[in-house]
Amino acid sequence: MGVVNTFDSSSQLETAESAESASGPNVATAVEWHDRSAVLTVSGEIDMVTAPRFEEALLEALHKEPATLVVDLSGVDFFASAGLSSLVTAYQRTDEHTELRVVATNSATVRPLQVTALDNKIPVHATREEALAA
Amino acid sequence: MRLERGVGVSTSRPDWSQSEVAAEPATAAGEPVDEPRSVEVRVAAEPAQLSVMRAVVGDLAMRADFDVDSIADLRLAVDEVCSSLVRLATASASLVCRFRTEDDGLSLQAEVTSKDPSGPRTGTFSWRVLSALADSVAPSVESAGDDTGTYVVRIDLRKGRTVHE
Repeated sequence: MGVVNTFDSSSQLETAESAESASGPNVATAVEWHDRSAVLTVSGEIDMVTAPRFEEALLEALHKEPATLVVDLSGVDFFASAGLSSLVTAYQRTDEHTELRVVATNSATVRPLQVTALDNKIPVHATREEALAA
Repeated sequence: MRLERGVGVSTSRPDWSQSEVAAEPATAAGEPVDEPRSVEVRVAAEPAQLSVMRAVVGDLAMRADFDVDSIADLRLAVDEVCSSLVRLATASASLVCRFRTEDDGLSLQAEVTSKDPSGPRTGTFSWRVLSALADSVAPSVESAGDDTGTYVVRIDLRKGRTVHE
């Protein structure tokens, strides 16, 4: 992650700016539990600006050791490589106690998962119910 | 600063669908766009501006009748292009994207000014995603040609249209 250093100054600038403006991309996350399964619902745009928040939410949910973590991306309308990297990081943190599943319903999320073949590693479902029942 | 964050969209014809033929001189600020199917957008080279470029290419691809998956691919590809350039940009640099819709595809030339002559890093995950999405993607670097000792870093990208029966 050598990129982080060279990029540091502008990302600080960005943080300062987004505090005074709602024009930048935004992402919202929420977790709900169904027995020992956690559903992380994500909405908004996941790009290089918002991916750190997405990753934080993923790792926080994993930290509570759910049997299944369903990442519901139905409300996400943009998903960049930074978001895919976050998902890979989460996948690598899972162990035999937790299974990671994704819900993706539109081209903005399905295509990035297909193009990178990440959908071969992390099961992708069309609905949350299907993901929970799988 | 937020009031004029430098989103300069210059298109000589917002709706270039069919019938209209005669090209009017471009009146927008900046370099004139010399033909109707080109759009040039200039923003501050900052991560928060990437969403502007995504919105522009999404709209262009939609009007050019790309299918839903191709529109998603183009938005993602443009975002990866612009994010790799923004990482290299000098402070207060502009990110300029020139989009061109063609009968059989869409092409983009994006550029920033950089102090780094080595160009975009092509060993990254982002670059792999980009290569998978576009039909062609080519980085290039040249001296800015002034006495600032900076470089113009460009990425050229092209994606053809899937032809439907």
